[in-house]
Amino acid sequence: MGKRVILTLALLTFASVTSLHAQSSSATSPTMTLTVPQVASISVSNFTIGTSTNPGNFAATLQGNVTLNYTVRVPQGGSPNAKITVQSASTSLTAGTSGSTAPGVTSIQYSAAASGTGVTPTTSWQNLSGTTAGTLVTFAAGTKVNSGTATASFKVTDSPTYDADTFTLPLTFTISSQ
Amino acid sequence: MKRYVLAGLAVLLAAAPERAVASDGATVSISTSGGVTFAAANPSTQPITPASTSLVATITINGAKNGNSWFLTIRGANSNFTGTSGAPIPISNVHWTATAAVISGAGSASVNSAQNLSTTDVLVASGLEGNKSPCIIQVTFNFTINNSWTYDADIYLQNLVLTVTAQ
Repeated sequence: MGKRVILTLALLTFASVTSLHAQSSSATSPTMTLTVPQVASISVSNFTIGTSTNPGNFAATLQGNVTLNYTVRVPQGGSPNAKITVQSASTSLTAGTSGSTAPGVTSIQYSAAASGTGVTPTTSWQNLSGTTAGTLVTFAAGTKVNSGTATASFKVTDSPTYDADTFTLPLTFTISSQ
Repeated sequence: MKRYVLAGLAVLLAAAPERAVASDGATVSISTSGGVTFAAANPSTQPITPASTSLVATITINGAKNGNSWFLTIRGANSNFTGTSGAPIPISNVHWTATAAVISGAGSASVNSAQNLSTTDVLVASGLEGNKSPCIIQVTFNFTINNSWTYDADIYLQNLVLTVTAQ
């Protein structure tokens, strides 16, 4: 009689242990998406090409420089269209006095200086266009520049045909990361 | 003698099924509100990028039993975000915080301190199931990622693995 009671209690203990170790699991796998965008920004200030100070030398070259501050992140497959360009926003310079003869837009030349991995400036002088954008700097695929600077230079050769005046020309600088 | 044997069997039949229901019948499931999306902006202006939305994980325990516990863990399926052309980005740049609330039942929930993501299961939250079924717990994750100029412009993917265990 006593042995059978002990056996029953042992079975109860076994059932209890099974319950404590039972477990149920479930899992889910949501997707994480990280979008790292192309980044491109540019800022530039007004600048002066130069002031003609030597009336005895009309062939003097007036040259001015301006600093371009830019940021760019080019996708690995984003080249060759990643670049900084400049374009005249007008087909002619605006004179301070009506009737003054001004240099033509195409008589203004530009070039650029910049450095860095994947950064290639246009170092040779190119004629500015009043209708199409000219390339100042190109960026290779995968180029990432946090806070870059480039120098754009503009020059014009003085001429006796130009009237004494102040001439202005709006320029548009554009940066594209792709 | 017969009386003792019958009494013992009666106790066994009365007690064992109650525990068996708790062990065999308890089920746990987890679902999430969607994915996690990071729209990383300019790293200079946004060095830490938060996810666009929180991720809500809903845990449902049917057959909840007083004294039983539940655990929620998180890990990355792989060690890097991968894109189509960009260099892989380690998921260890992802940081999570969590809050938890019992929205049904009589269970309890508490969360662990925030951590960076890894490929190792890390305990996010845990608690007791309580004696009322179903026990439903919502765990809300908020993720951030360290933004960097070293990242290539691309769209990267990786999966989280959320695992809930009730026992």
